[in-house]
Amino acid sequence: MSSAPATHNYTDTAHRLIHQSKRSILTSSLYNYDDASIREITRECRYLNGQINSAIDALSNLTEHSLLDTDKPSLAQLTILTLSAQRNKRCLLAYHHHRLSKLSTLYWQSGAALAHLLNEHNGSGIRQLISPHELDYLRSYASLITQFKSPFLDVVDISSTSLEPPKDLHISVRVVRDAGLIETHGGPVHFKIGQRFMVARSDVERLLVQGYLEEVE
Amino acid sequence: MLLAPPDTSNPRIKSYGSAYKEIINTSRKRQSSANAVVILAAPDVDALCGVRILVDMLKIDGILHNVRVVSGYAELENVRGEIVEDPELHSVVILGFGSLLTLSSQFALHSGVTVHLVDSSRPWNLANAFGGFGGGEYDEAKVLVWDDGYYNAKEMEDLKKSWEALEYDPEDSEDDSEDSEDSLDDDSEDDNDNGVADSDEDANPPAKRARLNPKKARKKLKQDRQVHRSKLSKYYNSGSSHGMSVSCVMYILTVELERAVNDLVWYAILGLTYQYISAQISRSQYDDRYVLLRDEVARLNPPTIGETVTNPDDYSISIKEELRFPLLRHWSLYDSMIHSEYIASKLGIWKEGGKKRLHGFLAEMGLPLVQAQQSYAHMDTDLKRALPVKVENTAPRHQLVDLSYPSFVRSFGLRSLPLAAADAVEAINALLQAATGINIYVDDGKGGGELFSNVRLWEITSLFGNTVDNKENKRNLTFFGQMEEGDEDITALIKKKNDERSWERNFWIAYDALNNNVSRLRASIPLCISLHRAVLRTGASLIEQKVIRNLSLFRLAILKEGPDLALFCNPAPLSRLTKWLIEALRDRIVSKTKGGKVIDPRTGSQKRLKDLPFIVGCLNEKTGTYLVAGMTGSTLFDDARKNKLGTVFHDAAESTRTRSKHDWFDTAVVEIHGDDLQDFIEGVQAGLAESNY
Repeated sequence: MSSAPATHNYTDTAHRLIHQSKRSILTSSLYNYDDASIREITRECRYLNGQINSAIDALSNLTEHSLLDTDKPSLAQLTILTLSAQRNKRCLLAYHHHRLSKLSTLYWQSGAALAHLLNEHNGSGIRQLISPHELDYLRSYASLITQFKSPFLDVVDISSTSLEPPKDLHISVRVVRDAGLIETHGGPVHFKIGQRFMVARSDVERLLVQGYLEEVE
Repeated sequence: MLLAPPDTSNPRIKSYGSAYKEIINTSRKRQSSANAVVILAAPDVDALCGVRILVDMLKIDGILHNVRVVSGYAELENVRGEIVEDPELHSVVILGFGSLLTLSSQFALHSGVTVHLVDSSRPWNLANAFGGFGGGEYDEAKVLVWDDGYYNAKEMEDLKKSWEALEYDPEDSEDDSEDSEDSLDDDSEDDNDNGVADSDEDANPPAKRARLNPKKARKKLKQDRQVHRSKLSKYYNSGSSHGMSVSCVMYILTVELERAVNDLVWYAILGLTYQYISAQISRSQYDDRYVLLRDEVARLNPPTIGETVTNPDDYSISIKEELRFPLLRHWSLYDSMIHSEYIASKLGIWKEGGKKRLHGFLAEMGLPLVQAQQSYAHMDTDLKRALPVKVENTAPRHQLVDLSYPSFVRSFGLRSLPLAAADAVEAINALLQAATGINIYVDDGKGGGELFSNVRLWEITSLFGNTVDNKENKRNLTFFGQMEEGDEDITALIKKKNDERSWERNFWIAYDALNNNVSRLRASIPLCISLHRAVLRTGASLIEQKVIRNLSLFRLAILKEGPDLALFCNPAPLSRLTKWLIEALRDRIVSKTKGGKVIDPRTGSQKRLKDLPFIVGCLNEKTGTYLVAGMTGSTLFDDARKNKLGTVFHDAAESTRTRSKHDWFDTAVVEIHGDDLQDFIEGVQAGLAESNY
């Protein structure tokens, strides 16, 4: 209470994280992992813990009867401190849950291509946006998925974006980003920006997912 | 090799269908990539519609392909270099350009490749039409020219004989090749190998006779060659004209394959209408093909029996007489009339007197001015219904005959009011010319006048689905290290990058706008209107300021200032301005001639003067060059003349050593270095005098 500015209340920082998550959902974009806020919240929790302990110490000397009669303010303070600590915890959990589910979604959206997601997604990749722990999470998540799908990969690839049966074997695509020379079933095709091709869907599924190509009707 | 249009009486003759099936079969035999079939298209409305039809066909057959837009000869070189690399390549379809290229050798591809040439502009390069069997010493590509059968068989046979006589003659081909023109002779030696077999088929093989009586035969041979040569040069130098549109040829293919549907006939209609309203073909040519398409429309759109209720999914095409007022349904009657070339020329709309005459015309029709200036959608229904009749009754009194022409109208269910073919063409054309790359202001205010007008800079909206490009370009630029992320000029550079290839983007924007989702076409109507306004504004100011010079052999206007310079630095808008000026001044000059003010110095005849070619130049402020376009006017409205200026421009640039650039498929458009303009114009004058125009 002493170190924080006058306008600052407990759990304000945690609320900021929640707002951030909300914004992230609304704009469907991934923000930077807010390390500074996380640290500040944990610090706040530790401080709260100290306060709670000292309040309990002060109160534990009194009998139960006198507690209700004499020291209502201390009791109220204890309640508030506990609630704040618990709120911080819930916010942190919510924030991280949001982050992880967002990361998983991105992972599936990019066709289970981890390297692409980390380095090239939307231009620069998401590696800069995530914490080391999240990176570990993504890696082990990816390895789990690979482990799971590999026995039946020859039948269906569950990591391809849509599992609906395609209407056509071939699709018309527009190149929105230079993809270079791509090896297809029929031979190599050079995808250059601005051009249009009609190609076999299976050949370019990945490029579609990764945003190099765009389907046109 | 020349490919005749399908003939129902003789189905065994190789025709479009068999050529198409050849593409399909080759594709299926090898499991080929998307690079194996390449479609090269010129960025104009006709080629665009042709591409759509062909792509639809290929889609049905599941043939992988790749469409490339080619803006000019320089770009063609790039594309050629790229596609040749691929050993898979087996078919190249050229839509809307290339009739003058010697495809087999100039466009050298390896022998496994077949080049299909579908182009409306004439003359053909005869080497494509009669040669081009592939193989040979240089391992050339096979060329198939999809002909429309406009020249009758005998004329073609005649030309073929002459061409073969010159082309395959093994003797003294170098002696007298210096006075002949055209690319034809450049590669006459190339084909000697496969030519031997062909010349044997001739009734009198020249080589055999030469052996019998050498001297006499040689003399005879020389005379023969002279005759042949003059025949060919007559064919080539008669000027450029237009045959059947690419989209109509493609449509005939679909009929032959029995896959014609409403969408495809609509594309064919657009191609034909484009040719007509841009004066590439005459009214009689238009009528010929209109009849064909009308029958198709009638076949595919059976009349509804009983009462007609608007069906929300009604995409039918109906046959209708169209008034010659551009964008009438999307504008006000008054504006539409003012911007109509026909009215402009007949009434002299750029002058106060012309406006008065127009008001008189409207009054005589019983149309209040308030109603006429109201946007068409809000005009009284009674007046709208009565309009065609009223126009027909009143117009002849103002010397306005032929104010309507037969055309088509397509319904778009409940999405939009029915769209006339001419309006759709205008909308697509506007997108092709100015969707990106040009700064142009459009007015969204729906006829609200000055007060409620909503002028904004035209930009392509998310409706057109092309908005990601900026972001992508930025990424590409930063990715390839061309510039740093934080660079100040990044937006400027992106814009430049976009503008450089704007024709390609525009082509695809227009291509996408051509589907059943009519909202894109509707969104481009303001752009159309702006282009119309710019043409009228500039054209009128050129006339008013008396910039136009009436020279003895041609008329010349040089545009050096004004708000629309940037627009008219592009070939298509400049050609449009030229056409407007021709239309607008046709009747003016004729009446002047009758007054005896202008008389041809050589012949004194009035007839020669009337169809003087018109040359318009426009200063490009950025580069300091002039873009010069020429067009041959015709004496009558609704008539098309062969444009001889292409060759004249070319020769003039050569003879005066002008720093020039002929990069466009339209040969009568050339870019001239600012300092050389005067020399060039003099060269053109000399060239025209020489060709005895």
